[in-house]
Amino acid sequence: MGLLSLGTPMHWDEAKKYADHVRTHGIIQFLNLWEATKDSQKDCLLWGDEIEYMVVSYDEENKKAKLSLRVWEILQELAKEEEEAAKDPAKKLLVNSSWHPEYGRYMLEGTPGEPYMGLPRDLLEVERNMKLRRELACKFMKPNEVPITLTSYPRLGCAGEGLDPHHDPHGPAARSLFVPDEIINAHARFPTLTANIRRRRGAKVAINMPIFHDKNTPKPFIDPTIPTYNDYPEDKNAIEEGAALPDHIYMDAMAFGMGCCCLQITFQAVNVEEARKIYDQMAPLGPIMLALTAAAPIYRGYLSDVDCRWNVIAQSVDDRTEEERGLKPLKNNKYRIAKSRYDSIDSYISNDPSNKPEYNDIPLVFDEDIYKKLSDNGIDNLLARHISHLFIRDPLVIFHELLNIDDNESTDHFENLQSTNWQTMRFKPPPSKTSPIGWRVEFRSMEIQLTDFENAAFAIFIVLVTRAVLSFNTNFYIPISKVDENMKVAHHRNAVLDEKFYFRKQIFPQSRPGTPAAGTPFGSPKLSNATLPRTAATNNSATSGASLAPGLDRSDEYELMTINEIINGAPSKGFPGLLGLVNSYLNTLNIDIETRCEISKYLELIKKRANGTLMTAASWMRQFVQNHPDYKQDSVVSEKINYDLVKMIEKINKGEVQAPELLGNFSV
Amino acid sequence: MTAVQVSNDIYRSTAANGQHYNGKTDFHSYGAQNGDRALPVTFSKDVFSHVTLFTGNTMVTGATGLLNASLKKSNQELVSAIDHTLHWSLESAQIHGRAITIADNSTLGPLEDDRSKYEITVKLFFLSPQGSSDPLSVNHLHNAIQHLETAIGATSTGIKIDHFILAIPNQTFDENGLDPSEIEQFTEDVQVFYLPIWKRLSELRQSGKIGRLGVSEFSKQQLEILKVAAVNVGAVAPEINQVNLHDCCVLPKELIEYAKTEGIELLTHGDSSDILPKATLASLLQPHLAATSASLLDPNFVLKYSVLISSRGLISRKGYIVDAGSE
Repeated sequence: MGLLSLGTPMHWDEAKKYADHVRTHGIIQFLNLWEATKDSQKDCLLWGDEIEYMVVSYDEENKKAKLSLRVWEILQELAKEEEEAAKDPAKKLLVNSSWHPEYGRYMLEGTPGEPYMGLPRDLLEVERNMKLRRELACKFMKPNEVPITLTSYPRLGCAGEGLDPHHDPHGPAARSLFVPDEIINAHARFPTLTANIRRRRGAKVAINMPIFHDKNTPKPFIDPTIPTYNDYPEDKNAIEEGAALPDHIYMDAMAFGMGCCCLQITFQAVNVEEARKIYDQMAPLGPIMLALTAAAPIYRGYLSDVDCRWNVIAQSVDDRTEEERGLKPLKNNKYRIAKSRYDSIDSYISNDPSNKPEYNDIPLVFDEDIYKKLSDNGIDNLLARHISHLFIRDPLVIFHELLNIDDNESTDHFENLQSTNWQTMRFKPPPSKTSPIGWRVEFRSMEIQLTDFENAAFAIFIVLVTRAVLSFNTNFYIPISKVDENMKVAHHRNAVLDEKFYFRKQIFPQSRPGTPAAGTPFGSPKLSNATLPRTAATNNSATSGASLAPGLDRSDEYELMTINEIINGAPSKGFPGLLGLVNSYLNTLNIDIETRCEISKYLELIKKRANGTLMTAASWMRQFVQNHPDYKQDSVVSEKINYDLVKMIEKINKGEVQAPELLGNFSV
Repeated sequence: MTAVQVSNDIYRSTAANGQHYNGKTDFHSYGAQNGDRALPVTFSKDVFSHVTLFTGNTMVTGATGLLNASLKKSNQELVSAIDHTLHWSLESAQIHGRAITIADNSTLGPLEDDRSKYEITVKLFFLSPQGSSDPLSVNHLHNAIQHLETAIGATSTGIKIDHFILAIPNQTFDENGLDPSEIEQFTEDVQVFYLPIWKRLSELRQSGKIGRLGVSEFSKQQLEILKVAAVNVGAVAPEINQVNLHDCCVLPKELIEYAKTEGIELLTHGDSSDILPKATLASLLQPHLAATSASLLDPNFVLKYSVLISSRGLISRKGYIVDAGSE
C-alpha cells in the first residue's frame, strides 16, 4: 500500500494547505529521478506477484467465522523470520517471502522473497512459493485461525460479532454505521487516510452495489439492517440524505473497498520505453481479466448483482467533492474529475507508433502548470500528461516530519501521489536514483482466487502474455473510452460468459496491406521505433492510415467479442486469442517436457474459465450460497452460510474437498 | 511499398547479377490502396531447377501467432510463411542461371544486438525423397548453415548455434518401442544414412560451432542405437531429444529414465513429421513459377531457426529456409 513512513499525520484542514507544496516537490523529485534513471537498461525480466490474505478466526462453538484483528502480531513474527533469513542462507530458502501490512487489520500481503526470472522453468516456482507463503503465515497463527484468499469478505460490516476481538462500529475516523475503526490498520497512515478522504469529500464515502433479487428478496429492497446513530453529522447520510439507494447494498467506509484482497503482478521492464509499451498493451486486458477472475459476489451479508470488487473500492476511496463530481458548479475546486482515484487508467503513455492519438479519446484532466514544468524539463507529451493527470489529486496523508525533505534523495512526495492513484495499471519509476531495480509496470485488476493453484495460473498467464506481447510486437490498442466501457460491463453478474467486450480485431503489427499481418523491420522486441518523437508517430498515423476511413475513425479496428473468443481465439475470424498467442510463444521456446506439462495445467484452467467449462469463484460462491440449506432465497448470506463457505474454501485450498465445477480435475 | 519501388527492386537485383530479366511484362503490381493483389507475381518464362526461399520473421508476419497455437503437430506455420514470402518477395528474387533465391529481406539481416545476448536454435529437417538410397547429404548441411548465416548476419567466424536438432526424414515417435526386426533395420539405417552427417555435426559440436546437439522423435532404443554407432566412430551421443506431446503429458517411463541418466534434455516441439511434402511445395510454387514444372522440384531440406533473448523470455526472430531442386 505505498510508503509507510512513520510520523505524525496532518488533519485534512492542515494537510490541504500543503497540497501544492507536496505536488511541487513531488514533481521536482520525479524529474530528479527521471534524469538519473531515464536511460536505465536492465538485461533480464524480473517479476513478482502479490497475494493478499484475510485471516479468519473460527468460533467453532457458535459456528462463526470472524475476521481476526491480531494480524499485526503475526506480521511481527513474519518480519523476524525475514530478518533471520536475510542473515542465514540456510533459512533463506525456507522463508523466501516478504510480508507487508495492508489496509485491513485482518489482512496480510505476501510477496516472493526474490523476484522470479524469465525462464519457463522459473514459472514452476510460483505456485510452490505461494504455498510456502501460506504455510509460513499459518505457522504464526492460532489453531483456530487460517489465512484465506477471498476477494471480499461476505459478512464484513454485518451486525453481530464478526470480528475477533469484537468492537462496536462508529469510530471517529470512518464514522461508519457498520465497521469500527479498529478494523483499520493501526499505523497512523491508515486511519488518517480514511478520515481525510471523508473530510476532503465533505461526506462519508457512499458505496452502493445492486442487490441480487432472488425469489424472496423484497422489491424494492430497502435494507432493514442499516442502523441509525446520532453522533456525527454524517449519521444522516445514509437514510435521511439518501446515500443508501433502494435495491442496493449500501456501504459507507473505506474498509469495504480497501479491505478487499487482490492479485497484483509487477514486471520489471528493460527500459522506460518497454515499460510504457507493456503498460499500454496490458491496459485493455484489465477489464477482461477482472471479469475472468471475478470472485466478489457478496457484500455486507447480501448476494449482490455484481461479481467483482473494483467499483466497490473505487467508491470506497472516492475523495472527490460534489463540485469535482459535477454535482455543483466549480467554486472552491479546480477541476471536474470523471473518476475516483481508484479506477481504470485515463490515458495510454507509449510513444510506439502504433499508439495513435485517437486512442486517447477521453478528455484528460491534468494540471497545466505541472505539465509545463515537465515539458520544460524534457518530458514528452504523453508522459507529461500522465504524470500531471495523476497530480490533479491532493495528497491525503502528509506527515509533519516529512514535509521538508531533500528532493535529490527522497521521492516521498512523488510517491505520496503516485501510490494513491490506484489505477488498473501502474507505471513505476525505479524506487530511487541508485536502486538496482528498473522501470516497472504493475497489472492490478485481477481478483484474488481461492487457491494457490488458481492464483499461480493467473499470475503465470499474465507474465506469459507480456512475453508474447513483446515477442510478437502485438497491438491491443482500442480507444480508451472502450476500455472504460468494458470495465463497467466486467462487473455484471456472470459477465465472463454473458457479456461481450470491445477488443482489437487485428493484433499483429501491420505494415503490408492485404495480408493478415506483416512485419515491421526486424520485428525487434527492443522496440527501436518506440523512441521516435511524438511528431513522427503522428505523421506515421496519417500516412499509414490508408486503410482507414477519412477522419481516422478507428471503429473498424475493434469489435465486441466474448471472453471465450478473446482468450481462446476465434478461428473463423483469424483471431488467435490470448491463449493462442501464449501457446505460439511457448511452442517456439526450448522447453523441457516436464515444464511444458506443468505450464499446460495452468493454461488449461484459464481456457476452461473462459469457455465456461469451469466456474469463476464468484459463480461458485453464488451457487454455494443458493444451495445452502439455510438460504431462504432472500439474498441474505447468514452467519452459518458464511461459516460453511469459509470452511469449504479452506478445505478446497488444502485439497481436502474436490470442487470439480471450480477446478476441474486439477489438484491444488 | 509502392509499385515503383518494386520495379526498382527488380531492376537492381537483375542488374547486379548481370542477368537479363525477361519476366517483367508478366509482373502484375498490386494495389496498395485496397491491399490486395489481383494476381500473384509470376515468372512465366524462366525455368528454374533450384529454389531457395528465406521466409521473413514469422513472429511479425503473423504466421507464428496465428498458426502455431496448438500442441498438435502442424506445418501450417511453414506453409503460411512460404506463401507470404512468395507473395511479397518474388519481385526482389535473385537469379543465378536456373537457380532462384527468394528472400523476405524486410525482416532478415544481422541481429540487432550483441551475439552473446541471444540463444539460437536450429532444427534441420532432411527431406530425402522416398526410396532414396543416399545418405543424408553433408553438402546440404553446409549449405543450410551458410544460408542461416546469411539470414541472421554472417560474421567471419560464422555463427555459433546453441541448439542444433537433426530431424531425419519420416521419423515419428514410437512409444511402443521397436521389435527386433525394427531394431535391426534402424541400426542399419543409422550406419548407412545418418552416420556421415552425424559425424560432421559431431565435429561442429566438438569445435564449439554447435552448443548442444540433438535429434527429434527418437525412442529410447533409437537413442541407444545412435549413441553406440556415434561412440564407435568417435562422435558425440545425442544431448537433446525433441518429442511432441499432443495434449497429454505421458511419456514412456524408460525414455524419461534413460534421458535422465544420459543427460539428454527432453524438449517439446510441434513440428509435423513430414514438414514439407513435395506436393505441398509444388502447389505453393506453381502459381509463381509458371514456366517451371514445380512438381519436379524435390524439397532437400527445411531449416527452422529461432533466436531467443532468454534472460528476458523473448523471441526475437523465427524463420525458415527452404531448399529444393531437380538437379
